[in-house]
Amino acid sequence: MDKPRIAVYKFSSCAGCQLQFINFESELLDMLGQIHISYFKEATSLVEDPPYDIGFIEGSVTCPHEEKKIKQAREDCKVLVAMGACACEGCINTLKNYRPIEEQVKRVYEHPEYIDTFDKAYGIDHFVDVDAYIHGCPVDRDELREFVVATLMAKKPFLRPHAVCVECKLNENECLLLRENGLCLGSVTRGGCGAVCPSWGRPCFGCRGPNVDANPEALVEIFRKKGYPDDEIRRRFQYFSGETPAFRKGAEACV
Amino acid sequence: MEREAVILKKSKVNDWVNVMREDHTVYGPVKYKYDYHFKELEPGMEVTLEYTRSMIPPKKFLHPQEENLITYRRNDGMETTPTKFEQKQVILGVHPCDARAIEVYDEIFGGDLPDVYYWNRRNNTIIIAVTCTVPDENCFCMSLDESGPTLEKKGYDLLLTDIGDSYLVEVGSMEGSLLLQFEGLFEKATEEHMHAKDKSVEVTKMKVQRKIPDVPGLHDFLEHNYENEVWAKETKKCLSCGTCTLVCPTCFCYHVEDFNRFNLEDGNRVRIWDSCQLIDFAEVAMGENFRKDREARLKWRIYHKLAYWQEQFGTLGCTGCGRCIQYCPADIDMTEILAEIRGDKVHA
Repeated sequence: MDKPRIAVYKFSSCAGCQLQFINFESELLDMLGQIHISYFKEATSLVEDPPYDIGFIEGSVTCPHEEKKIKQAREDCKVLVAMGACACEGCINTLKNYRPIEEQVKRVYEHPEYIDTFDKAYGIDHFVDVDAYIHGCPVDRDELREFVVATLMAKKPFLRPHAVCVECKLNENECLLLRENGLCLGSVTRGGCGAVCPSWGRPCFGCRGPNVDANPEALVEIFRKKGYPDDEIRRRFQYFSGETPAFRKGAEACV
Repeated sequence: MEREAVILKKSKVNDWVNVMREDHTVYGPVKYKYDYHFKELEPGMEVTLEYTRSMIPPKKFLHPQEENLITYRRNDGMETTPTKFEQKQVILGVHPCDARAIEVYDEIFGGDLPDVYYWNRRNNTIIIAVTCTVPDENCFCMSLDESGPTLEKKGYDLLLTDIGDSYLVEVGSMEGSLLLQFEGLFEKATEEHMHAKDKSVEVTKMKVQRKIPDVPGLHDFLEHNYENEVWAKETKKCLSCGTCTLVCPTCFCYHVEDFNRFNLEDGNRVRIWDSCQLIDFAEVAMGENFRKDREARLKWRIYHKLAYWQEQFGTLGCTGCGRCIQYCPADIDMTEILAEIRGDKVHA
């Protein structure tokens, strides 16, 4: 069998997710033994024409020309994968969704008249069908390897659909929500990151989006009992994944 | 005097740990920022034997959070190398609730098809239990075993009990007695020391206030109350985060996964702790999920521990350690739920 032809695209994002491919370092040669890079501008200026077998999309869609580009990518790729929080949920680009766009464009750009942007930022599935999601800001390298390898072996990848709390317990982290009254979203956020933030003493920001059966209303009640004002709770839910149905529920539960 | 026992001065505990370390890896409870954790005792580390509970039970030394079962290589056929466990380990400071949980584990991982990975570790493990002296408001061991904060004759290789400036050390096995063969550490125990222990245990028993009433009737009680409205109310609070089960000393469920490397030839078969509270736990091929409903999962933990376990193993799957109560971020409390269903006490 020929090696699958891979494309890695960048939309509105920081380039940190695609960098995770390059970060495989000592494993790169083994990886390139299995896949063929056809389009990956961060890694090589050599570009081959579509079609591609698997397209990894980094970044959210925030402006009209990106809408065109993502629709073209969907046509050019047999399998389309949302890679990282921006492509999956919109990530911090969606912070612009909660304020009038004119106001923000003026605040950021010296010549707002040059800017052609949507009112809102979106994860890519707002515009195209997506075949798979790899969550995280950035994506976790072990999960990325697991996804690529499992796909090559036609096997279901092990990507945790449940809460970050599980890995916190596996790591024996002392609970930041319980012990420090931290505004930690770990209990409603999809795991698979190895609970990296809580392991370093930082409450979970929810960058991986909600776990499959998140119960955000219950967490809002817990935060309230700990004395957090609703405004602060709402902003926490809107930080990284506010446009997902579950986190929107959390935000809307706040008055 | 029936019981074989010696005395260890508290000031000599560290010396004892150091001599045991020559032939064993020694683990014990160590205080971190908020909780106690069982850690390998290295020189300069302070072990605390007077503690209420560790966050993760000592079960992790017999059934680790993540355990590599097999390293494999696919070439023409399949080459596999199973993981061996050959070091001798001592777990120092195991509370009676956790020692009883290890007896439960022996049942689960034993039987007709003994789990080889578990028994590799178990057969190389010496349990030095310690009588509990500082139970808190979450402890309810007395409802599950009348010996409560101490152990009677079984479940340990050695059993320590705080009797003031010394520990009474009772022997539960030959392996345990071999750890007492060090010069200058131990003194002979007298009848008086035994009395001191019995007295201390009586005092501690009085401190264990939380209760599950009518434990023998639990099975039928739960079966008759499966549809009680209290369950729906508690389910609203539940985050399905899995904490209650991951900190539970008798929970044993695991997930097995093959992690392959990029060459698609080398890989590891790993088992990882799993939890019945998680959405993916009962999911099978093609996406069918037998316990998709949050309420069914919440009830399952409690029904399994307190009712179904009895049918399967003849014991209960709970030792009253209190971890699921202390570490639940949503304040879900099994003992309060039972009380509320009974109408004993309505939790505000």
